[in-house]
Amino acid sequence: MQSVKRNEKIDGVRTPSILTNKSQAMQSGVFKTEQDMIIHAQKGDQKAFKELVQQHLPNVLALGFRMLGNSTEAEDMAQDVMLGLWQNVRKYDPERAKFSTWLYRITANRCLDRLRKKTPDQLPEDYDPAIEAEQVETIYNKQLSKSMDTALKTLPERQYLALVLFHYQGHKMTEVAEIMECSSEAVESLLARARRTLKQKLGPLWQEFKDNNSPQQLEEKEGEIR
Amino acid sequence: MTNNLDHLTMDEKKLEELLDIYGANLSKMPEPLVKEVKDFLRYCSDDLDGSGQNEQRLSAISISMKEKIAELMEKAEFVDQALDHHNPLPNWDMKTLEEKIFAKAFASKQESTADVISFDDRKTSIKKNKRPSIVGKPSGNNEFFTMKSTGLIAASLLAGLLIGSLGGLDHVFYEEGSTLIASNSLMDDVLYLGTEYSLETAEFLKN
Repeated sequence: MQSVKRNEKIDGVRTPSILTNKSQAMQSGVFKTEQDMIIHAQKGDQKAFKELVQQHLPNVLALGFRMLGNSTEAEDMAQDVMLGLWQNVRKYDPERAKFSTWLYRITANRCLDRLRKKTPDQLPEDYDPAIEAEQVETIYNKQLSKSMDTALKTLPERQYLALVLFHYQGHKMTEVAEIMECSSEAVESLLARARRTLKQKLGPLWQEFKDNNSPQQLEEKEGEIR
Repeated sequence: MTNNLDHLTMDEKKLEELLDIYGANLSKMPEPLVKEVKDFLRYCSDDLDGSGQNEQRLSAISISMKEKIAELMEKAEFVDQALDHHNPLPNWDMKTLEEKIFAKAFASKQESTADVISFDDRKTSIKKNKRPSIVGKPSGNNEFFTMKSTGLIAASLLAGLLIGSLGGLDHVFYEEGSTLIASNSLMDDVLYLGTEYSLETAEFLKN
């Protein structure tokens, strides 16, 4: 059984690839700042709106996919959000929140609405996100992904949202708090409870992983290779 | 046994709490905490690397504690890795999706929110909405203010006159119980601002 690759860079900054898309739109040179882009979009400028979409769509999609667990639904939700953005961009008030915070708050709320409407049997029984993504190569990783999927489904939606925003989307604690409209302390509490649950649910798998990678086991494996 | 960890605010329990919140990726922790955690981990590993250089410190930290801390870190890393391996993002056809969004959006209309003013527009809109004659004038001296206050004073005066006249009317009515006097009194009140004149007039009329 192949093990999960160890996190070698514990002190390193893990920048989610999704965040590298930031500021790409500004690089086009048409609008100097995002604020400029928003003002133009509020005045009905389609080019400004297009750039806003190009800048934020990847994050909206990623958040949707993490929350809804399905790429088709994530696409639908992202289309809804972006359509709503065009229709309601004039309602955005910069004095109340950052644009991204406002947009991700809308996205998070749309996801929660969809989750609440969704009944468990809407997903096919053989639905396997690992297979859908076609990026998980090994049986062990598949098993890990499946266990994680099961564990994540047991989390209350706000704990899950906090985890997605913080871990996957790479938002800072204060940003998560703003998006979720609660205090940073409340987010810390949500994250701690979520991770404790995951730790507990993944405990047996972790034990298996540990046993398979004990110094004795590793020596045996090396002996087999020789 | 001397506890050499006293100088650190970090302990096993605190470490566990932090790992539960932030995971094993220390870069996600606030800077002061990262330093504390790193110091704590370094301290523990230095003590227990088997070099035996510092026996006093070795005695302060038990093997079981080292194991516990290592386990805490491993579990936190494991959860991080499981999260990373879970549901890798699909490769979306962004261009097609964007085209769909633009087609839908531009076929619809933006909501009319004439009252919504944002950013720098706020100042310029206020200026635009002001009549040219008052832009740049101090609010206390401008034409708009003068007109408004004049109207207000006139309205108050009229209301005062009416109330005063009614007061006079009541008084006269009470005094005389006569419709005729009352009527005259009302006229006086209106003319003489509802002051003593009303009584005087009433007295006059009575006599």
